[in-house]
Amino acid sequence: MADATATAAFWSEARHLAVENKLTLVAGLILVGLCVLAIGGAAMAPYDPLTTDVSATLKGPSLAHWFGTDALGRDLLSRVIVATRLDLGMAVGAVALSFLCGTTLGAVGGYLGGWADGLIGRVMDTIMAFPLFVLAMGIVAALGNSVANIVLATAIINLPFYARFARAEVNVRRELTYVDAARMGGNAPARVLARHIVPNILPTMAVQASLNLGWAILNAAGLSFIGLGVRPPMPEWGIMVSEGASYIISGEWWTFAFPGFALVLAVFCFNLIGDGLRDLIDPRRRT
Amino acid sequence: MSVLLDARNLSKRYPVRHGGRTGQLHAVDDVDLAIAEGECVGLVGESGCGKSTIARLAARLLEPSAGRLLFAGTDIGAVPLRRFTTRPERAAIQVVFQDPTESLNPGFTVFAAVADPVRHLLGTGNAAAVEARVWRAIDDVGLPRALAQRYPHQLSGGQKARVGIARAIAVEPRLLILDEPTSALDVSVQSVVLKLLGELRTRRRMSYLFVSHDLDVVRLICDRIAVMYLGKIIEIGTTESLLRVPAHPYTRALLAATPDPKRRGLQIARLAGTATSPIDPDPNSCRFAGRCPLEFSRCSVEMPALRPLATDQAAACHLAGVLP
Amino acid sequence: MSEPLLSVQGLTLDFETRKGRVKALEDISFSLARGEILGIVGESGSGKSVLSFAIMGLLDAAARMRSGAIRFEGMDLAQKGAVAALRGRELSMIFQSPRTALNPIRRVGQQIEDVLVRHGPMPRAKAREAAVAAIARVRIPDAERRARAFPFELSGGMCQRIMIAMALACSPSLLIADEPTTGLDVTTQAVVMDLIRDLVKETRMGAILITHDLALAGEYCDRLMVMHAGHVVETAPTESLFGALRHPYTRRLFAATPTAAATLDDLAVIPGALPDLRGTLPFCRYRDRCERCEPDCDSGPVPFDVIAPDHAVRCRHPA
Repeated sequence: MADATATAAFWSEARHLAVENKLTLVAGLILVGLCVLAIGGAAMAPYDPLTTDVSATLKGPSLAHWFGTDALGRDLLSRVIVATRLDLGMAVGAVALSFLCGTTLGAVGGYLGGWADGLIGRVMDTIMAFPLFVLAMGIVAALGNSVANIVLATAIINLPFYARFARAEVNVRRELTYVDAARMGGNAPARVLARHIVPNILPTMAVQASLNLGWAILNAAGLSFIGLGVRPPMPEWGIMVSEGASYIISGEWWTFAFPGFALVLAVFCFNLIGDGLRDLIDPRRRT
Repeated sequence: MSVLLDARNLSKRYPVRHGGRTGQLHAVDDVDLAIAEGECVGLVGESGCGKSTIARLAARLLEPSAGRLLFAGTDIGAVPLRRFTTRPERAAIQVVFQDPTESLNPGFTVFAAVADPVRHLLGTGNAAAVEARVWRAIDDVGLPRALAQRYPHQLSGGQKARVGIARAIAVEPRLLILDEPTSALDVSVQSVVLKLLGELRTRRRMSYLFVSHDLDVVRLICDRIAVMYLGKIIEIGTTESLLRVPAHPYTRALLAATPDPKRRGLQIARLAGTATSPIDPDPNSCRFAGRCPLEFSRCSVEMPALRPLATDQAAACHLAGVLP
Repeated sequence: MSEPLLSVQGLTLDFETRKGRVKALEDISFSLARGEILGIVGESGSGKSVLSFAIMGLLDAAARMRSGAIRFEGMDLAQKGAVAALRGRELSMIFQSPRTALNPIRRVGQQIEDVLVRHGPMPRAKAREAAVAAIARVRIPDAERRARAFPFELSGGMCQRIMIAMALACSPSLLIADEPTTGLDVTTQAVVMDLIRDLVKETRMGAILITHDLALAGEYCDRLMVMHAGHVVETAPTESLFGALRHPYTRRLFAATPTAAATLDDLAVIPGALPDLRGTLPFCRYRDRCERCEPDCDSGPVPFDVIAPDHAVRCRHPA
């Protein structure tokens, strides 16, 4: 019963937030749209994204091809739609991986302190010492050109972000008396951390993750843009922007503008959702 | 009455850096304190005097730097903290913390919070037995059963304080350590909680170590009172005798500083001077020197020992028992 | 006494919130003379802090003053901009937790100078001397050296004295102290309260002490005003109040203070909780907690009766 009232209160708060902050509402709708496209994929695209048509290359937007066609005559709208799943998938995968590993490492370091904390801290410092994008490039180059490695590289360069955040959050809570109470209650250190501390930092960590998603999309697309990871003809926003970029001078703007716009929209949407989530969890920060 | 908790020469020192060199902060310095079965001992003093450190040492949340800690005859101070979690004494010593909000896990319902120690410490594995104990504790602190599925943020301050007490008594401790249990509460809630604690003590036959900065609160509930100053117990005695004839000048100053409408308009001499630093204090000087109104030459060359007086008390002052 | 320093007449104040109108204060009237300390006592949620914020003009945007007047030396403080001009110079306030109220990276002497330069107005060079004098006035030894200290180098009691020095630097006529000693040790509390009392007598300013501790207010205040759920339930000079506590709430509140009880059994409890100030409230907001409640308690607004010289009680059946 208490759960029901708590859930009801959460939704009432969420509703209030959506009404008060129109931008979050807009972002929420965009997110729903992106998810539908990601799930629907090829089924929702008007054309096959890989079918070339030499008779209709580099055609501008028209009723038949809303976003125009590329140099091989492929329908850009279909390619943008089909790429959604891959781009979101890579970002979500990378964020999930770094969230899981980073939170665990940071929480353990923050709770135990001492040499474990020192070791984890130094490893994270080492990762941060590299220009992150260059490090990602290096990882993909070393491990091989594949989607899985893009996800892995993006996850690794993101790791310090989660580890440091989790460490700071755990450090604050470690001193609270409810943690002492858990120790008094016969909980072993691992259990104190896993059952009593970590669940309480998850909401704030989730906000960070959603803010981070936009950045992960950009990173994955960026790697593809410079030719690492996803290989043509697979549709992916970064590659499409890269392919279209050579037509900037000749004026075929639609080749890079539409995939680029999809990228911007997704990043924008995740950042706004992150802000909205933060307000939902911590009403004090609401302005 | 047999002794339940017996702290001997208990010390807690922290290494600190100040002025470019490392020193030792003497949080608790060579303290002897015994609590008998069923007894309630109050521990009072200013913030930073070490009273909360003693509470945490006695609760085995902190490792002492030196000294012995005997619980019902066993030296529990010798058991490393990590292993103490699984010792039978873990359930026998429990703590009620100061801030009822901070001491409750925001993600645990009332029931889950009270059940957590019962499951781990009285590991019978029998769900019905656990539940029965939890309900008994919740009933004992006068918390309506309807609140059992609520989260801390859905409770009032007084209700949260009751949950903190229920959680501590659910495992049937023999010693309950109360660390400023009412100082974060409103007067109206404080009186309710104090009465509840007084009642539970007789009903559950527990011993209390009651830590507080408020002599008036301690006076109501404790059989004996120990007054601390800078890591040392400077006076200890039965409540009645200590309050009637306080022997240590610091105890007197504490009593005179307790607000009382009857003293309206009176000019009372207050403690002047600055307190001695707790970092590497002079072992041959009285800790109260520098603030003491009665200080004389001997005080800075000889640390007064806690010595028994004719009344039911002991004080660490060269002049104790000499002055009126 | 002719014109009081501060007079509040029939002040009623609500907060408009998302969850309805909170009736925070209703029909509050009192006055304060120069050289007088008024103690406002009540549990948290009784409205005592809201009242002090209302006087200082520091209420947030959701507050609506429905009726009443706040006058300072005859001036209407509810007028736009009136308080802002006086705040810091004529009206001063000290809060609890002095550490957070002081700027951690600025020397305490400089912080007092800043106030003097802004409100004095006073040239910087002169302000330096005045700041040291202000620190000396709150009985801090070696003021010259202390002025150069950072807040973290001073103890809690010392910080609170610096806050008082800052509040008094411009010689205000009215000082509001909101729980000035919460979080301080009793020995330090006594020193700080002695200081406030002596400075009030010395400078003939008026002071309001807001506290939940009836015993503390009783030791230091000339007059007491007991608040419950946004009402003033009893007000009287301290002696006559403690001579005869007339409102059932005041009696209970005092009996629930550990100072007043000889044993744990004597300690009284106040049944129930403060009523929710949203929605409709009974005429007597203490009714549901009161042991002297009669059917006629709800027959209309409870008059604020003067039952002895200068002693008023909002109760139909006072003890």
